[in-house]
Amino acid sequence: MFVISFNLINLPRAHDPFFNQTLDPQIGHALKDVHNLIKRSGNTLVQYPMEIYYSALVLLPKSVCLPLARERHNRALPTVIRGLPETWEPPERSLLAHSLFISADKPRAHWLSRKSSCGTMIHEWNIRTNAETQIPVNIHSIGHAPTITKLANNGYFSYSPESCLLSFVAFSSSAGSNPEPRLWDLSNANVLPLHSETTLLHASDNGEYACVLHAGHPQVYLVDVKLNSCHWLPLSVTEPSYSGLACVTFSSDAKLLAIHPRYVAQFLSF
Amino acid sequence: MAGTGKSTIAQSICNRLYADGMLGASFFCSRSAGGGRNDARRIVSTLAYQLAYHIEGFVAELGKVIRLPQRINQQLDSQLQQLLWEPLDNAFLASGSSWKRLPLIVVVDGLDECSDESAQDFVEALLLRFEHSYPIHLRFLLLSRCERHIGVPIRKTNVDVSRFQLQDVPRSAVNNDIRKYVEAGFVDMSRRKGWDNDWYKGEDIDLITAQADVLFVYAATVLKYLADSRFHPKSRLQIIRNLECHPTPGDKALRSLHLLYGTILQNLGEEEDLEWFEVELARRVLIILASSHEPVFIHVMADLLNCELREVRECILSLSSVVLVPSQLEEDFHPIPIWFLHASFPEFVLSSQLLPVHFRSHIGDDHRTLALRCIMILEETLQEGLLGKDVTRHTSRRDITPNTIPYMISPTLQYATRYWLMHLAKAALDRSAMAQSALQIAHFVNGYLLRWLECLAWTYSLDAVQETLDEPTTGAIINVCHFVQFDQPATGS
Repeated sequence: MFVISFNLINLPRAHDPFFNQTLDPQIGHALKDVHNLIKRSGNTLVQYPMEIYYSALVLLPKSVCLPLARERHNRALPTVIRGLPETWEPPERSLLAHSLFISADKPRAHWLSRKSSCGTMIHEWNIRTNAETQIPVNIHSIGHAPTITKLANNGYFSYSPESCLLSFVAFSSSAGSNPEPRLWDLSNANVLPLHSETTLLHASDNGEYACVLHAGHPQVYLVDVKLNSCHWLPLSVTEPSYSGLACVTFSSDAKLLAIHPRYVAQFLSF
Repeated sequence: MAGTGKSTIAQSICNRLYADGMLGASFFCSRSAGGGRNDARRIVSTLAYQLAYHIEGFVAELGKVIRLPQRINQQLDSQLQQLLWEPLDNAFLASGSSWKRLPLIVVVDGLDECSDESAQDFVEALLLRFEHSYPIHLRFLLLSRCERHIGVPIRKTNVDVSRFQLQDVPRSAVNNDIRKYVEAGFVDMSRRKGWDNDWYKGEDIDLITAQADVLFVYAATVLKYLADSRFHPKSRLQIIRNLECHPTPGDKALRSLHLLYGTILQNLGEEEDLEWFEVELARRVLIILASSHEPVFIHVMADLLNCELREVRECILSLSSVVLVPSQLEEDFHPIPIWFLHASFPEFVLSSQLLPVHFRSHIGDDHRTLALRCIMILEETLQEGLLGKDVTRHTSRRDITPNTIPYMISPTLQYATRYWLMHLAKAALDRSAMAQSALQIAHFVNGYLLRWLECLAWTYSLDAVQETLDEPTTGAIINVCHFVQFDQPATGS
């Protein structure tokens, strides 16, 4: 059975008691937390030091001793609704999800997983009931073009539960060891070259936008496909492990964003 | 082995090669010199820059690569290919047969001073090229301690590598050189002071040579000790005569050096008749220097010790046999970096069991004082957004001009950021001393951790702190902090 932990994150509400909580001065625990934080997010923090006041706080495990949180008051940060890990221990590695979709009008999230023993499966998770269903899918029936020989990291693609798969991050067949990520619009066969460090993306239902993650950059980019322009999303990602980010998606009304590190998913609203 | 004079030999070779027109480039790695000289990834670009002066056509070919900066990455093998081999080969092809100079020699000294990973990468990347073909006009001379990560790739390679170990030089030959060095040092000292040469005897030179026993650094330290202008060398020579050194080969070869270091520190208060607070200042200056692993500005030490620049200057002068005293020490406004004469001394200072008793008995309290002073500096200085209001959460390090960080984050703040925890870990061995400091530590941890982490990130110090946190001594901090918490609840901010 697949086990996955989800994080639901909302914008902070005014007078959230969490921010006014008085914490005991557990110095030893605080230093251990600092140690773990550096081990997990050190590389990202070196590149984006100011994220220590933002993303690094949002995704800290529940058990973290939080003299840190004293510095959070009056700061508008998303809060974790569901799925935050309890401790610094690594989450269970039971699922390698490759794509994630959250529906704005339905309380459901979808993701796709591949396991050699089970094949490719679409998972549907009902956020309200916590029930999960699995739907087998044939990867070769979803538009694998002959000119594309290798999909990024074993095939990241975005998924529309209403119709079909919409987009791929693909490597050029002729590029050899140099990946050339591109957005491939299946509806019209157009190809949009992306930054060479792009690791994965998700296209919106209407095909006008894509979320893009770049290796070495903790921020999530929003790509306007028509204009080929890029915007920052307001929430960056540093935890629990940026290098393990597996997929990203957003709802059609652009009010919900779901990101999926290798083993844990977080749902964010902004 | 440390102290045998590898870098001095490398310097002499460079001078000789330069005089003969054969020096292509040189790079002296150093853990202590700062400026990235302990990072092998900096070697290639420096070598390329220097080679551009010596090889016809190299500049033009290098320029073609530099004009396409996206081609250059941090991988050492790529750097070597793009910045050295490619311009070198193309320059040779472009010049045809007219390029018939002797091979140029590239000298890289002290690879062991670089991080293990980058040094190994450099050696392997270098050997990779030589496995396929020899660069027509370039040969490399690498000087290093025989560390495993450097020695193994060289031993395993099929490349024709000539290896020379200083240990293979007969001891008698090395000691003869040391004898000449000491003799010349004595003569020079007499000449500079206007004395006859009768204040020392031939037996003294024999004794120092025997005590040094192939360690040039021992002889150099003795000469510095004797040359202190504030004392007549005769009295200090007597101290050296009284040393009972019995050097033994192998790991214990540094014993005589440690005995000398201990004697120098032991006599700091006694022979030099310093006041207790001057000895305390000297002790803490040495601890700061030894802790930092890199030169420390004299004004930073004054800030950390909460004293006048003048006092630190005088202290540095009293330590001139083990500390490099810059010629501009008397200048008021110049940021003068201070460092040890030799890398073996900080190791000696940090190994508390080797220190003289009167030093050792105060070391915990010294570290606690320094930790609390660092905490005080941090609390006074740290703020969210150290680089100014224009720097936001979306600002990448790449958006910041390199000079901004040292301009906005002072060297004193950098030291305090990086080393308060290390001082605390050393002080934590003294449980009662820690208990006295509980409130200050709790106040800092409760109110400043995030700002501290921001400063660590900007100054590339996260790794250094992680190493401190990895050490068993830090477990002592955590345990003592728990003890403190229960016994003396801190109020926090």
